[in-house]
Amino acid sequence: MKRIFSQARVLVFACTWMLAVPSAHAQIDRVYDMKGDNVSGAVVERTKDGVKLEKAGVTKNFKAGEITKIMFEGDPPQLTKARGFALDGQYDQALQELKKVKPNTINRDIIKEEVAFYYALCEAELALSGQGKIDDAARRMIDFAGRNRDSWHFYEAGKLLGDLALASNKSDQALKYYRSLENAPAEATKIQARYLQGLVQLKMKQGAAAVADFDQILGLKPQTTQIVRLQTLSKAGKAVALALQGNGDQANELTNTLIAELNPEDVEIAARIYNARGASCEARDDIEGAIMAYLHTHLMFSVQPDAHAEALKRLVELWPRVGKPERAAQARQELQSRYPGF
Amino acid sequence: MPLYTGLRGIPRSLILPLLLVAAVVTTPLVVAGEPANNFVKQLRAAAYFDTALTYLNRIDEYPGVPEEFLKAIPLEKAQTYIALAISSRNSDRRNENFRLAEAEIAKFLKLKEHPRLSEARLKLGKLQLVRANQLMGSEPDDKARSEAAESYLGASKTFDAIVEDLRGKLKKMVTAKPSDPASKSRRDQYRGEFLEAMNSAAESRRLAAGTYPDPVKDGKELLEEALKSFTELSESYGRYAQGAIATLQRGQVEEQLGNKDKALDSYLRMLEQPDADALRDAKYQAVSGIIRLGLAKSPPNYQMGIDRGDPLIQDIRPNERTASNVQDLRIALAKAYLARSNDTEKIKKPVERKRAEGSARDLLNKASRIPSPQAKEAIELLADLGIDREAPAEMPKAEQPESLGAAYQSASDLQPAMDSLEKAIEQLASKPNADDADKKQLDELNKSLFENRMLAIQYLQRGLSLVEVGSDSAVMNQARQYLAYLLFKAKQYRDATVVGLFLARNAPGSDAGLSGGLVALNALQLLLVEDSGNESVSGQLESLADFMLKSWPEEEKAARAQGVIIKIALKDSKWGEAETRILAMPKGAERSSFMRLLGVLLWNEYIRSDDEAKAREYLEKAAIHVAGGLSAIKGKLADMEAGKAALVLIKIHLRMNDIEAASGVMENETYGPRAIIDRLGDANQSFASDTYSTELLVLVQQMANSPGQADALLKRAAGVMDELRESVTGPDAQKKLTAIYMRASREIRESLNASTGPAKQSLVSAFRVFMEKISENTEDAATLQWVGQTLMALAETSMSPGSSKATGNTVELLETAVSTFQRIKKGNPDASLTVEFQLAKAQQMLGNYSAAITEYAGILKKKPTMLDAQVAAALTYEQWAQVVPAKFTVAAYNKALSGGKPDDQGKNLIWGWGKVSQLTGRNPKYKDMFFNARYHVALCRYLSGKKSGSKKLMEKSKSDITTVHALYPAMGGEAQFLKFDKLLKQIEGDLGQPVQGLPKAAVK
Repeated sequence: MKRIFSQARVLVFACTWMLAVPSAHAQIDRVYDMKGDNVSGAVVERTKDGVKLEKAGVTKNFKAGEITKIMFEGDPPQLTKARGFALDGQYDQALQELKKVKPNTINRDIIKEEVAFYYALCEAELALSGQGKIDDAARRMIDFAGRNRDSWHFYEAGKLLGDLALASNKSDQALKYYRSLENAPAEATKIQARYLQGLVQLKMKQGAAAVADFDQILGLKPQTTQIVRLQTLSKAGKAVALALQGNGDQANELTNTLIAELNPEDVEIAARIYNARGASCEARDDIEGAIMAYLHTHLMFSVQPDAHAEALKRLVELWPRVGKPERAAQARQELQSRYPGF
Repeated sequence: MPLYTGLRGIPRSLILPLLLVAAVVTTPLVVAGEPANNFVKQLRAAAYFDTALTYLNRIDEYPGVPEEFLKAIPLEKAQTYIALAISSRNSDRRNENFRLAEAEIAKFLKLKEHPRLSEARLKLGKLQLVRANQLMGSEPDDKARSEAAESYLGASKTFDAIVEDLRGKLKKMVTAKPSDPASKSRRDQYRGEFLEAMNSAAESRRLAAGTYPDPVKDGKELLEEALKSFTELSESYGRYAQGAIATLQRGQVEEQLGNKDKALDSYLRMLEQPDADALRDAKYQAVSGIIRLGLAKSPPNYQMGIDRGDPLIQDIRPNERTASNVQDLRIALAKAYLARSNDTEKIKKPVERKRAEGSARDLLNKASRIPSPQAKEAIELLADLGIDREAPAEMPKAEQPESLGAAYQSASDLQPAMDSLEKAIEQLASKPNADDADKKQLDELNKSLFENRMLAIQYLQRGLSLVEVGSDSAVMNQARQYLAYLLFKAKQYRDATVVGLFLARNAPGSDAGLSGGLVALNALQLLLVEDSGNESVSGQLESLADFMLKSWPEEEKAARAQGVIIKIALKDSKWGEAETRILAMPKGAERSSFMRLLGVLLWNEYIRSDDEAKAREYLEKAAIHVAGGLSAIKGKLADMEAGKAALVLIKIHLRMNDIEAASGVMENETYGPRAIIDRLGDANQSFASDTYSTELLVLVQQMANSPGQADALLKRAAGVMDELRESVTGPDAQKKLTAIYMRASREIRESLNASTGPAKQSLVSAFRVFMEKISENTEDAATLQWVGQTLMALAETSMSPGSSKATGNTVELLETAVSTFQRIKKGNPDASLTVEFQLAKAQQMLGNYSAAITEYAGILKKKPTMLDAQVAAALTYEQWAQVVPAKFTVAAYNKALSGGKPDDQGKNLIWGWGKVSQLTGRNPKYKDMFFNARYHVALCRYLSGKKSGSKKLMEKSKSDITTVHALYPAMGGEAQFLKFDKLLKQIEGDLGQPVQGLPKAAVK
């Protein structure tokens, strides 16, 4: 009797379960966050602030800016490959894969949106490294953002639009785009917005305004590794700003603290620190020191395109001042061949 | 030539690698803070030596530099000064930099403790050597000789001190048995430096003796000391490269001291060293020594040198062609050939003497064309042969043009002359029965064309050097386009590439850019033909092709680039990339042709692959691509290439056990191989025979699948066999037919291997019926051979893995094979060696070892170098040793190791594993055979030792394995590595030692 009862109970439970979760069963998406964890379920809602993932009747929110990527059920294999390439910085290969995607075979709008975003992202990044037209890339990104205001990539698109504007010397536009990131839901994105505005101020030679932006970030209590990283970048930015204001010694001291803790594997930070060191040496009229600093970026951290181009540009001007015009010519040649649009 | 004498001739190219080598091993890893170590290296690599020195002087301004690096600043400065000296063209400046380097090293050596101290001492010693070499460089006077002697002796003392210091450290390390990776790596570093220092000390003494006008008389003591060290190195450290090379140096000193027999013995031993890259140069020198000693004999023994030098010279690698020791070898070998050509007593046939002279001339021609100190001697020897080798054609001198336009005009003015010269050359070259006067005229025309091209090239190059900001870019591009074309025509492919690339990259989208790109594309392809392994060229080619496709997407000529990229991807086995590109091509004949090519290559890859899962993937993809490529063929456009692809597709289907599909392809009216033979009529012989033998395979498998139709299928098979016989004609028909049968039976065996269970059984049964029928109806030797061979294949595939002796049904198969082969031999006493080999193999598999050995000895008497037979015979002895009574075991294993069956002169016809390994080790193409032989050497010693209870033999077996590992850490691939590792563990276990096996790292 007892056995019969328990069998029936199992049966009832199984039926209930099958009825309760048809949607989760039908669709499995997977969200990867910045910490390297991932959760599967069904993406049931998306806005520019993030996505909602439902699993077994429980809904979990993920903020835009804290998501690395989302793999959607039904992703064409080329999109999966392209996403991987793009997140790895191999934009050329990513674009090649994206070109193979047949949009009419995609059933979900959110996947179409992913294809459009990664297409725009790759073109933007390639244009930023001198391998494409900035205006074309900006047009495509604006088109994406205009059509997909509810995309969780919306703020990423804004950041890239700022980068493109800055690269084409449209500082006011860049400021506008970067400011819009302050509305993003993730704390790190808000801080990044401030950092990027600081960079625009540097470009506009507004040393004091830049210092103010960077100081705001440096005054925060670091809670995540993303924020710590932004603070290190801000210190490098501040050193450049101080150099711009003629405070070479102060800038030099700041770069010393950064170099003492330098992790050569974080190429972006390393390249920016040595460029800041170069700026501080220039402010102290130490041309030899500045050349050595920019050479660090040129010889060891050249995979960060904007910083490398900046270092080469400075070397073109500085080598003749120590009687080495032939080395300036070498640097110019490399600058022109690697970053034709710079 | 000893290690350091090379510094004399080409100091700037050689010294740097020598002096830098130690630094590479010892540099510490920077984790955080200023990456000083890496930055200094990068500065030196970029030749920013002055900046590197400034940076080292200002290093205290950078925080986070490791203490160890800070202490090594003088050493880093020394390294920089050395690099600066080497790059300097001014001898005073170079000497000054060497002096500064020496001073910095001396400063560093004041430290009592530093991990890089021995590296610094080595550097110091080498610097002293470099300076001494410079003093001896060009006709030194007495003072220079005395200073050089002093410097050489100073260097030897420096090296002696390193040897003593490291000997002590290494002894301590042996006692302490370092276990952590850092200590082990330090021990390896010390051992390397110890051997290097020991070698350098001996070499310094030898060179010091060379400073005397009569080194043997006045420097005898020094030479004897050097000899002692080289002897110790070669005997105690022979398994390390330095020790092996010391065998050569030992021979050179022995030769200097007049001990010619000993010297010859050392040179010969050098040649017996394994075929490792590090030893190649020493082997060239050893052969030069052998030739020298042979020619000094009375009467001269030139053959000894020719026999050893000829195979070596055939195997020269492209990067070695200009090496100084290779020129020495060419000249020495040429002298040996000349001695042969003059030996009218022994060489009776004039044609052979003429051939020897021809070989000498070829060698001397090659040596005379390489700019080197030996070129002069080569030209003189050629002159003795009555050949006046022309000095390289001198460049005609063009006048300096006033502008680019004028330069272009001057070059264009030469074009009509070049056109008519080209035409005349073409006519003359194609003239039948050209006489000497024609040849002379042809030479003159070629010379004239060359001069005109060179003039035009010079005009354009000078004109382009006048370009400045604001010059007309259209004229510039036109001039570059013309220059690229002329350089290409003059076969200056590298220069043509540079100009063409520049044009393409700077004028994308334009006609001039396209033309430049095409010139570069063709030039790069030709460079790749010359040097197929050149990755830099293939990389450039790929990037250019990509660029052209992007820049001229609509241009048909640029589309050719796509084909080039695909071919490169296929050449480099980048299947995925090739597949992506091919599938992206527009549908059409070219795409389907590439699909077939890819499919056929994947099929080849499938055959080669050891990884089952990957092989399956290759096979499936090959099926898709070949089928896709074939299905695109319309009407009657299929050609021989398509037919060959169809044959591959049939074989793929057979492998996948899809007999119906295989049969479908065979019968296909558009691209089926039979249809193509019918249509093309004069189809080439190998294609026809491949078609019939493949059809036989299909029929056999159909028989296995449909036993009910066996009779009808058998009838068809008999018809195909007839067609096959008819398809092979000509004087070598029988030989070719045999080869085809062998191939067919090999493929049947592979099909059998691919099938399992009942399918395999029915396939075997079907085939047995088939074989019996064929055998009954023929006396044709080739057909019988095929039958025998196939029965062997059936037997081999029926034997359980790991067993060496047949049992059950396999015995029947083998006995039938034996009687078939004996039938062939009876009918034809001159039956081929292949038949005899198969007979021996069948006896071996039956366990009739005595009969097998007799057969193998018979084969080897006719052809001692038949390696397959040598290997099989050694294995037969080994298998026999496992079953003989215990008291004969050791003797039996000895035969497996050292061979047996002596000939009339007492030389063993069967070599045994030892000699097999020795002879296969010299040639990379026998790599697998070499490692297999080395494995069996160790195995035989181990089994022999184990059975006889000899620990000494087992220890020897262990050292056999570790020696192979020391010389070839990869041990010929993972499978071989695992085999050796397993055996080593077994030996260690039996010896009661800790079971460690081979170090794991080597698997990578």
